[in-house]
Amino acid sequence: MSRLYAKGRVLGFKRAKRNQRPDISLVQIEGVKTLADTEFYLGKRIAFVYRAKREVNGSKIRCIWGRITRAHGGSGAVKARFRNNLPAKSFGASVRVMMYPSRV
Amino acid sequence: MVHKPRNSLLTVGVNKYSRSQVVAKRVLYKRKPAGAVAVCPPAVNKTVEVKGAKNGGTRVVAAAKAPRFYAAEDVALPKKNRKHAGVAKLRNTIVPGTVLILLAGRYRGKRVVFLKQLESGLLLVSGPFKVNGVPLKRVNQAYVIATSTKVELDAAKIDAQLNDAYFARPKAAKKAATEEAFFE
Repeated sequence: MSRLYAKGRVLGFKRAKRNQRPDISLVQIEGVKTLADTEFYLGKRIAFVYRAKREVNGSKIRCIWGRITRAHGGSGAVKARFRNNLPAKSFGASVRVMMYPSRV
Repeated sequence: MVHKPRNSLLTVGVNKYSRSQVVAKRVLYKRKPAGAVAVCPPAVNKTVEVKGAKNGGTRVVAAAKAPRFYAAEDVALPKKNRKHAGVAKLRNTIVPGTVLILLAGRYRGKRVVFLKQLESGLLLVSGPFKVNGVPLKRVNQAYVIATSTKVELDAAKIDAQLNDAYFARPKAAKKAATEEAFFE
Protein backbone atom coordinates (compact mmCIF):
# COMPACT_ATOMS: atom_id res chain seq x y z
CA MET A 1 0.00 0.00 0.00
CA SER A 2 1.15 3.50 -0.59
CA ARG A 3 2.96 5.64 1.88
CA LEU A 4 0.35 7.56 3.87
CA TYR A 5 2.75 10.10 5.28
CA ALA A 6 4.99 12.87 4.08
CA LYS A 7 8.70 12.50 4.62
CA GLY A 8 10.44 14.92 6.89
CA ARG A 9 13.84 15.44 8.41
CA VAL A 10 14.70 16.55 11.90
CA LEU A 11 16.86 19.64 11.64
CA GLY A 12 17.58 20.16 15.29
CA PHE A 13 16.12 21.77 18.34
CA LYS A 14 14.64 25.21 18.56
CA ARG A 15 17.62 27.35 19.33
CA ALA A 16 19.30 30.67 19.39
CA LYS A 17 22.98 30.93 18.54
CA ARG A 18 24.26 29.54 21.80
CA ASN A 19 21.27 28.08 23.63
CA GLN A 20 18.83 25.44 22.51
CA ARG A 21 15.39 24.47 23.75
CA PRO A 22 14.99 20.70 23.34
CA ASP A 23 11.23 20.66 23.91
CA ILE A 24 10.60 21.87 20.36
CA SER A 25 12.22 20.31 17.32
CA LEU A 26 12.59 21.79 13.88
CA VAL A 27 11.46 19.66 10.98
CA GLN A 28 11.89 20.09 7.25
CA ILE A 29 9.15 18.45 5.20
CA GLU A 30 9.99 17.21 1.72
CA GLY A 31 8.54 19.45 -0.93
CA VAL A 32 7.48 22.19 1.43
CA LYS A 33 9.47 25.25 0.52
CA THR A 34 7.51 28.31 1.54
CA LEU A 35 5.66 29.60 4.56
CA ALA A 36 2.36 29.36 2.69
CA ASP A 37 2.94 25.67 1.98
CA THR A 38 3.30 24.85 5.66
CA GLU A 39 -0.28 25.80 6.42
CA PHE A 40 -1.54 22.39 5.34
CA TYR A 41 0.76 20.62 7.78
CA LEU A 42 -0.09 22.55 10.91
CA GLY A 43 -1.57 20.26 13.52
CA LYS A 44 -0.60 17.11 11.69
CA ARG A 45 0.85 14.34 13.77
CA ILE A 46 4.45 13.32 13.38
CA ALA A 47 6.06 10.02 14.20
CA PHE A 48 9.76 9.61 14.82
CA VAL A 49 10.34 5.92 14.25
CA TYR A 50 13.53 4.28 15.38
CA ARG A 51 14.98 0.89 16.15
CA ALA A 52 16.36 -0.34 19.42
CA LYS A 53 18.15 -3.46 20.55
CA ARG A 54 15.77 -4.46 23.31
CA GLU A 55 12.33 -5.71 22.47
CA VAL A 56 9.45 -3.83 24.02
CA ASN A 57 5.89 -5.12 23.71
CA GLY A 58 6.99 -7.60 21.08
CA SER A 59 8.81 -5.18 18.81
CA LYS A 60 12.27 -3.70 18.38
CA ILE A 61 10.82 -0.69 16.59
CA ARG A 62 9.83 2.25 18.71
CA CYS A 63 8.10 5.50 18.01
CA ILE A 64 7.86 8.96 19.49
CA TRP A 65 4.68 10.79 18.53
CA GLY A 66 4.33 14.51 18.20
CA ARG A 67 2.47 17.25 16.40
CA ILE A 68 3.45 20.09 14.12
CA THR A 69 2.73 23.24 16.03
CA ARG A 70 3.77 26.14 13.80
CA ALA A 71 5.92 27.24 10.94
CA HIS A 72 9.55 28.12 11.38
CA GLY A 73 11.02 30.79 9.22
CA GLY A 74 9.92 31.56 5.69
CA SER A 75 11.27 28.58 3.79
CA GLY A 76 8.93 25.80 4.81
CA ALA A 77 10.52 24.52 8.00
CA VAL A 78 8.20 23.69 10.80
CA LYS A 79 8.27 23.41 14.60
CA ALA A 80 7.06 20.27 16.22
CA ARG A 81 6.44 19.23 19.77
CA PHE A 82 6.75 15.60 20.72
CA ARG A 83 5.33 13.68 23.64
CA ASN A 84 8.83 13.17 24.84
CA ASN A 85 11.61 15.35 23.54
CA LEU A 86 13.46 13.91 20.61
CA PRO A 87 16.91 12.57 21.37
CA ALA A 88 19.73 14.59 19.83
CA LYS A 89 20.63 11.44 17.94
CA SER A 90 17.63 12.17 15.75
CA PHE A 91 19.15 15.20 14.04
CA GLY A 92 19.16 14.49 10.35
CA ALA A 93 16.94 11.46 10.81
CA SER A 94 13.69 10.87 8.95
CA VAL A 95 10.39 11.61 10.48
CA ARG A 96 6.93 10.65 9.24
CA VAL A 97 4.43 13.47 8.89
CA MET A 98 1.05 11.78 8.92
CA MET A 99 -1.91 13.17 7.05
CA TYR A 100 -4.17 13.22 10.06
CA PRO A 101 -5.88 15.09 11.74
CA SER A 102 -7.18 15.95 8.33
CA ARG A 103 -8.98 19.15 7.52
CA VAL A 104 -9.57 18.33 3.86
CA MET B 1 -28.73 31.42 35.34
CA VAL B 2 -26.76 33.62 33.02
CA HIS B 3 -27.89 37.22 32.63
CA LYS B 4 -26.18 40.57 32.73
CA PRO B 5 -24.07 41.05 35.86
CA ARG B 6 -25.98 42.55 38.76
CA ASN B 7 -22.95 44.33 40.15
CA SER B 8 -19.96 46.20 38.81
CA LEU B 9 -16.63 47.48 40.05
CA LEU B 10 -16.07 51.12 40.85
CA THR B 11 -12.46 50.60 41.85
CA VAL B 12 -10.50 47.73 43.24
CA GLY B 13 -12.41 46.28 46.15
CA VAL B 14 -15.33 48.69 45.86
CA ASN B 15 -18.49 47.50 44.18
CA LYS B 16 -21.24 49.70 42.93
CA TYR B 17 -23.96 47.85 44.85
CA SER B 18 -23.78 46.53 48.37
CA ARG B 19 -24.45 42.94 49.21
CA SER B 20 -28.04 43.55 50.23
CA GLN B 21 -28.65 45.75 47.23
CA VAL B 22 -27.50 43.01 44.91
CA VAL B 23 -29.82 40.56 46.60
CA ALA B 24 -32.68 43.01 46.32
CA LYS B 25 -32.07 43.18 42.58
CA ARG B 26 -33.26 39.63 42.28
CA VAL B 27 -36.79 41.05 42.73
CA LEU B 28 -37.92 38.07 44.67
CA TYR B 29 -41.07 39.83 45.83
CA LYS B 30 -42.36 39.73 42.27
CA ARG B 31 -41.50 36.10 41.65
CA LYS B 32 -43.79 33.32 42.71
CA PRO B 33 -42.36 30.07 43.91
CA ALA B 34 -42.97 27.18 41.49
CA GLY B 35 -45.28 25.59 44.04
CA ALA B 36 -44.09 23.62 46.99
CA VAL B 37 -43.66 20.05 45.85
CA ALA B 38 -44.98 17.72 48.47
CA VAL B 39 -42.00 15.59 49.38
CA CYS B 40 -42.76 12.49 51.34
CA PRO B 41 -39.97 12.01 53.86
CA PRO B 42 -38.21 8.76 53.10
CA ALA B 43 -39.49 5.89 55.19
CA VAL B 44 -37.29 5.46 58.22
CA ASN B 45 -38.32 1.92 59.01
CA LYS B 46 -39.77 -0.86 56.99
CA THR B 47 -41.49 -4.00 58.02
CA VAL B 48 -39.86 -7.22 56.91
CA GLU B 49 -41.40 -10.63 57.00
CA VAL B 50 -39.13 -13.19 58.52
CA LYS B 51 -39.46 -16.66 57.04
CA GLY B 52 -38.99 -19.87 58.88
CA ALA B 53 -41.31 -21.68 61.13
CA LYS B 54 -39.40 -20.96 64.29
CA ASN B 55 -38.69 -17.28 63.54
CA GLY B 56 -42.08 -16.36 62.15
CA GLY B 57 -43.68 -13.00 62.23
CA THR B 58 -42.45 -9.60 61.18
CA ARG B 59 -39.64 -7.35 62.21
CA VAL B 60 -39.33 -3.60 61.96
CA VAL B 61 -36.02 -2.87 60.35
CA ALA B 62 -34.28 0.34 59.26
CA ALA B 63 -35.11 1.03 55.62
CA ALA B 64 -31.52 2.03 54.80
CA LYS B 65 -28.87 -0.29 56.19
CA ALA B 66 -26.19 1.35 58.30
CA PRO B 67 -22.76 0.91 56.72
CA ARG B 68 -20.54 -1.81 58.13
CA PHE B 69 -17.43 0.30 57.87
CA TYR B 70 -16.73 3.93 58.62
CA ALA B 71 -13.48 5.39 57.31
CA ALA B 72 -11.25 6.88 60.00
CA GLU B 73 -10.49 9.96 57.92
CA ASP B 74 -12.51 11.79 55.32
CA VAL B 75 -11.25 11.08 51.86
CA ALA B 76 -11.54 13.91 49.37
CA LEU B 77 -13.65 12.98 46.38
CA PRO B 78 -12.55 14.25 43.00
CA LYS B 79 -14.83 16.90 41.55
CA LYS B 80 -17.35 15.69 39.00
CA ASN B 81 -16.47 16.59 35.46
CA ARG B 82 -19.26 18.60 33.90
CA LYS B 83 -17.57 19.27 30.60
CA HIS B 84 -18.73 17.44 27.50
CA ALA B 85 -17.07 17.69 24.12
CA GLY B 86 -19.53 18.80 21.46
CA VAL B 87 -20.30 16.73 18.37
CA ALA B 88 -17.86 17.46 15.53
CA LYS B 89 -19.40 19.47 12.74
CA LEU B 90 -19.41 17.66 9.44
CA ARG B 91 -17.04 19.15 6.89
CA ASN B 92 -18.92 20.64 3.94
CA THR B 93 -16.87 18.50 1.57
CA ILE B 94 -18.31 15.36 3.15
CA VAL B 95 -21.77 14.56 1.86
CA PRO B 96 -23.58 11.20 1.84
CA GLY B 97 -22.10 9.31 -1.07
CA THR B 98 -18.69 10.95 -0.94
CA VAL B 99 -15.75 8.64 -1.45
CA LEU B 100 -13.38 8.98 1.49
CA ILE B 101 -9.82 7.81 1.93
CA LEU B 102 -9.10 6.25 5.29
CA LEU B 103 -5.85 7.55 6.74
CA ALA B 104 -5.30 5.29 9.70
CA GLY B 105 -6.38 2.04 11.21
CA ARG B 106 -6.58 -1.46 9.80
CA TYR B 107 -8.06 -0.19 6.52
CA ARG B 108 -5.71 2.72 5.98
CA GLY B 109 -5.42 3.73 2.37
CA LYS B 110 -8.75 2.22 1.41
CA ARG B 111 -11.31 4.28 -0.36
CA VAL B 112 -14.75 3.95 1.16
CA VAL B 113 -18.19 5.43 0.74
CA PHE B 114 -19.59 7.78 3.35
CA LEU B 115 -23.11 6.89 4.43
CA LYS B 116 -24.10 9.21 7.24
CA GLN B 117 -22.92 10.96 10.37
CA LEU B 118 -23.95 9.27 13.60
CA GLU B 119 -25.12 11.07 16.74
CA SER B 120 -21.70 10.77 18.34
CA GLY B 121 -20.21 12.67 15.40
CA LEU B 122 -18.45 9.67 13.91
CA LEU B 123 -18.95 8.90 10.25
CA LEU B 124 -20.70 5.71 9.21
CA VAL B 125 -18.74 4.30 6.32
CA SER B 126 -18.73 1.18 4.18
CA GLY B 127 -16.36 -0.25 1.53
CA PRO B 128 -18.80 -1.46 0.27
CA PHE B 129 -17.66 -4.76 1.73
CA LYS B 130 -18.05 -6.68 -1.52
CA VAL B 131 -15.92 -4.17 -3.34
CA ASN B 132 -12.90 -3.76 -1.10
CA GLY B 133 -13.51 -5.67 2.09
CA VAL B 134 -14.13 -2.68 4.31
CA PRO B 135 -17.18 -3.48 6.45
CA LEU B 136 -19.70 -1.07 7.88
CA LYS B 137 -17.66 0.87 10.34
CA ARG B 138 -17.43 4.13 12.19
CA VAL B 139 -14.64 6.51 11.48
CA ASN B 140 -13.59 9.83 12.91
CA GLN B 141 -13.71 12.75 10.51
CA ALA B 142 -10.16 13.75 11.34
CA TYR B 143 -8.81 10.45 10.01
CA VAL B 144 -10.37 10.77 6.60
CA ILE B 145 -9.73 12.68 3.39
CA ALA B 146 -12.79 13.57 1.40
CA THR B 147 -12.34 13.18 -2.33
CA SER B 148 -14.39 15.04 -4.88
CA THR B 149 -15.81 11.76 -6.15
CA LYS B 150 -19.40 11.19 -5.17
CA VAL B 151 -21.53 8.11 -5.47
CA GLU B 152 -25.28 8.40 -5.77
CA LEU B 153 -26.84 7.29 -2.53
CA ASP B 154 -30.45 7.11 -1.51
CA ALA B 155 -30.25 8.43 2.04
CA ALA B 156 -33.54 6.80 2.96
CA LYS B 157 -32.05 3.35 2.40
CA ILE B 158 -29.68 3.55 5.35
CA ASP B 159 -31.23 1.48 8.09
CA ALA B 160 -32.17 3.51 11.14
CA GLN B 161 -30.87 0.64 13.25
CA LEU B 162 -27.35 1.63 12.31
CA ASN B 163 -26.48 3.99 15.11
CA ASP B 164 -23.89 4.22 17.86
CA ALA B 165 -25.71 1.64 19.98
CA TYR B 166 -25.33 -0.86 17.12
CA PHE B 167 -21.58 -0.54 17.39
CA ALA B 168 -21.39 -0.64 21.16
CA ARG B 169 -19.35 -3.48 22.60
CA PRO B 170 -21.51 -6.22 24.14
CA LYS B 171 -21.09 -6.09 27.90
CA ALA B 172 -19.40 -9.24 29.22
CA ALA B 173 -22.07 -11.22 31.00
CA LYS B 174 -21.26 -11.53 34.68
CA LYS B 175 -20.60 -15.14 35.45
CA ALA B 176 -22.62 -16.29 38.42
CA ALA B 177 -20.12 -17.34 41.05
CA THR B 178 -20.48 -21.05 41.36
CA GLU B 179 -18.57 -23.26 43.73
CA GLU B 180 -16.92 -25.09 40.87
CA ALA B 181 -15.81 -21.90 39.20
CA PHE B 182 -14.35 -20.76 42.48
CA PHE B 183 -12.06 -23.75 42.69
CA GLU B 184 -11.14 -23.82 39.00
